[in-house]
Amino acid sequence: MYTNQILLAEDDTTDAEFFRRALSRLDSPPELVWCKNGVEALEGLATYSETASLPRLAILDIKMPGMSGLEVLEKLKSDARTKDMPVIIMSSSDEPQDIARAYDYGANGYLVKPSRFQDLRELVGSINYFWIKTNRLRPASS
Amino acid sequence: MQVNQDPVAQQLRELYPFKVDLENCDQEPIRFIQAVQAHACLVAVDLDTLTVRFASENTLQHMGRNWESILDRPVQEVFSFEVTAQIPVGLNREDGFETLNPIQAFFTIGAERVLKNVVINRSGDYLLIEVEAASQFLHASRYQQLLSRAITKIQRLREYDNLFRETAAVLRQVTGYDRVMIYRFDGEYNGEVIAESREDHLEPFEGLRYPHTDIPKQARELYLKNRVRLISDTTAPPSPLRRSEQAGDRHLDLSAAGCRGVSPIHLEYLGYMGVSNSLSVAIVQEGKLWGLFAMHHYSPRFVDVSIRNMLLFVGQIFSGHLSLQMANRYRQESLNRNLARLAIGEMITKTRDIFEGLTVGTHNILNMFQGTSGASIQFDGRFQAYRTAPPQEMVNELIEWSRQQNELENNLIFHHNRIAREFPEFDPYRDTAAGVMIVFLNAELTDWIAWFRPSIPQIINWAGKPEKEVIESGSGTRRLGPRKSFARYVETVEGFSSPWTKEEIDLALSLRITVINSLMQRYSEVKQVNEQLRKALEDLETFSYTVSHDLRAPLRAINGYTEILAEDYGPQLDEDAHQIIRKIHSGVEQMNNFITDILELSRVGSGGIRLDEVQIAPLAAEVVSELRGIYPRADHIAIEMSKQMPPVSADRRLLRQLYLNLISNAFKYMEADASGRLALEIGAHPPESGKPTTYYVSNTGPAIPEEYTQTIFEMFSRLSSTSHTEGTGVGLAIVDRIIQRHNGKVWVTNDRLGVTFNFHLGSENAS
Repeated sequence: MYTNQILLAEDDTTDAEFFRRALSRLDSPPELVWCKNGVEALEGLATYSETASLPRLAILDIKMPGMSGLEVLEKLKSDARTKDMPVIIMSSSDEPQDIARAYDYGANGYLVKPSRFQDLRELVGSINYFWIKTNRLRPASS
Repeated sequence: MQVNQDPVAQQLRELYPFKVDLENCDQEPIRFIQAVQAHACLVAVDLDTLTVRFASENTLQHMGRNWESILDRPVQEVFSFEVTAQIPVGLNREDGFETLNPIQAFFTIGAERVLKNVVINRSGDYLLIEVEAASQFLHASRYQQLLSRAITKIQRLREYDNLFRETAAVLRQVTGYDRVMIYRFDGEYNGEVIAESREDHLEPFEGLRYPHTDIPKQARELYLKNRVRLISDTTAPPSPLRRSEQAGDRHLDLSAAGCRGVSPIHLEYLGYMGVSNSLSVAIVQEGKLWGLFAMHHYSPRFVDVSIRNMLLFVGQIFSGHLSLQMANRYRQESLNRNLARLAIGEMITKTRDIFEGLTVGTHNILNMFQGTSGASIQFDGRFQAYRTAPPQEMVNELIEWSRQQNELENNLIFHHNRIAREFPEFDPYRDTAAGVMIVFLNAELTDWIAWFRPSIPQIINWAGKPEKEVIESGSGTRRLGPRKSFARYVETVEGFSSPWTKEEIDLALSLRITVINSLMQRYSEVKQVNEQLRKALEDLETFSYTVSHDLRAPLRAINGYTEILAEDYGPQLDEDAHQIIRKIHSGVEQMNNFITDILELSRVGSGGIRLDEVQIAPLAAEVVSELRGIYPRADHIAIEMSKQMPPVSADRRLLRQLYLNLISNAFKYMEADASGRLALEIGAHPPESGKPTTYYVSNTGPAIPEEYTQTIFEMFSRLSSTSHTEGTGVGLAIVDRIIQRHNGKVWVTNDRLGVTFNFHLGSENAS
């Protein structure tokens, strides 16, 4: 049974709070699991006993202390247990090489952090619609 | 005209083994003149057999035996034991007979026993034995006294200029000659009397010049071999040399013999001067003939070989003293010059610029050498002329020419004091640049310093017009006679600069080293600075990246919280508070744009460039449609795009950015024209031959004032302060940077629709 959780790895408390607020304005918002850095995210994911109980989606910031989001991404995608979990990189960087690397490591999406809260809300809405609401159908059919 | 008035010369000419005429006078083989002067007799002994093979006709007078009676006789039969005993000694000595001569021996002449001086020299396979008078009054002590007096006087002289006059005076005192001259050769072997001592009634010769033809090359060579030359009596008939039949056809080489017969031309020459007796001592410096002690007497006289040897010795002392004084002078001058050179070197190091370093200080290239009219410097592709120098293209031609000259000393320096003679193109500049010295700074000969010197009219007092006379003999052959007139002949020579001395050439070479050292120091500094710059650039890239992340985060915070404030607490805020929130948003927006543009600029500046052939029209169309979404008023703008835009070789990403900035710039600042129309035009001028195609983006709007047409491309420059236009002032700086990276050019004109940005790319060699 899939959880209704979104994992967010974000060291910036402001960005994390905006994300939480944007998420909270949705109808039936998913549960947010917030990790303050990459290591915490990996440790948190390790506590999930089954693949089926993993969060529906992981959103990783790139620049974090200790371990970058791209490193976390690489580990997740090379681990059989977590490789099917969708991962979105969300960064303030729009450097082409960052975007290219993210997709090289197997990211399912790359989003540039919007500078307006309004835009973030819309973006979070879209993420929720596509990855949480629509994706719910997939495991049922398999 | 014919010259038969001189019987001695005439007689010699008959004895002469070679016919000398105008065509071969340079080769006049004076050492083969088969005659001796009357003051001595000569006997030549074949070294193989020690048998007499040659004898002058006058042996009877000098040694009491007829020349016929001694030919083919063994040497022991002809000379006494005092003489023959020295032969094996001299033959086995490294310096030959030099220290044995003269050998004193008695000869029975008629009824008398007479003491004679015998001088032996070796000449190839022969011994040349000369017998001449020995002055009996000349005792050893007297000779020593004369010698030491002369030498002491010369050595006491401290001043260079006095050396000559004093030496002449001492020599005359010692020898009793009517006139003693110090005769110095210049670079071309023209002679000048630089000092003399003479009998009061004689006409002064000091300051007079004698052309190099007066003492021709072969005579100068003989001076190096046989440094003292006595012509005892120009009027006494010479004595012909007789040979044994065993001697073969070869002429005897008389270079080594002191009594060698005199060239008929030289006899004529002395005759015209009215001189009966001449004694010359060669002064040799570093193996080269520096000059002569030239002594004239107006009546015949014989000078004992001991005195001649003494004069030779005095000549050597003089030459040594001269070297010493020249060395002292050179040392003093080079000390001064080195100080100047060091000052220039310091100046180069200080100013970090060769052009400034060489020209701004108290010591500079213009006062380094006396009488410099101007200078030019070519360094690292830059040319600069100082004071009066010929035009650049002429100097360049001269440099090109001088590179091909073999005379480049050490392959690095070229100098001439009459350059127009070798390089006639320089003739028009001879007033200011008659002389030139070029020192090349690098091995490729592309960097150099050139100095110029003006023409100095030289007044030369020739002793007679310096040309030999063509004399026709009775049989119609022509020969060159000596000058007959010694009347002062004043010639003014132009087109020469003062000569570049050895010291000056050395200084130029050492200046070159100084320049190179200073430059090397500068280069290592530049290298260091480059390293620092490279690191700074890396830091800048890191910084840009950091800016994109860290600086944007707080902006997002400000924006986000403000929005949340407006949304969640909107109803509790009044209109004024909402106004403030909008202003916060606008400020954040502006700052965000700034960050985006600065990042874009740093990206344009770094990274590689990839040239492709890019079609302009589709690229521009894409940019326009992208921008329509951002600038709502774009729908009201008439956009005209030319279909005739040739493709350009450029980096596609950068070119897109270029059009993005130019077109958005147009959208941003556009104003309606007189008819109220907003328009944008994108196109290209038809290419002119040999020039790159110019592309343009033009829009309606007010003209850009002249004074801003350059600064507009600088960072953060904004012309418009109207509130409805927003810009960061970076967009056109980005355009300029992109153009620079393509080695192109961008400029603004106030034509077409109103304001037009034009550019072309030097696409062939994009950096």
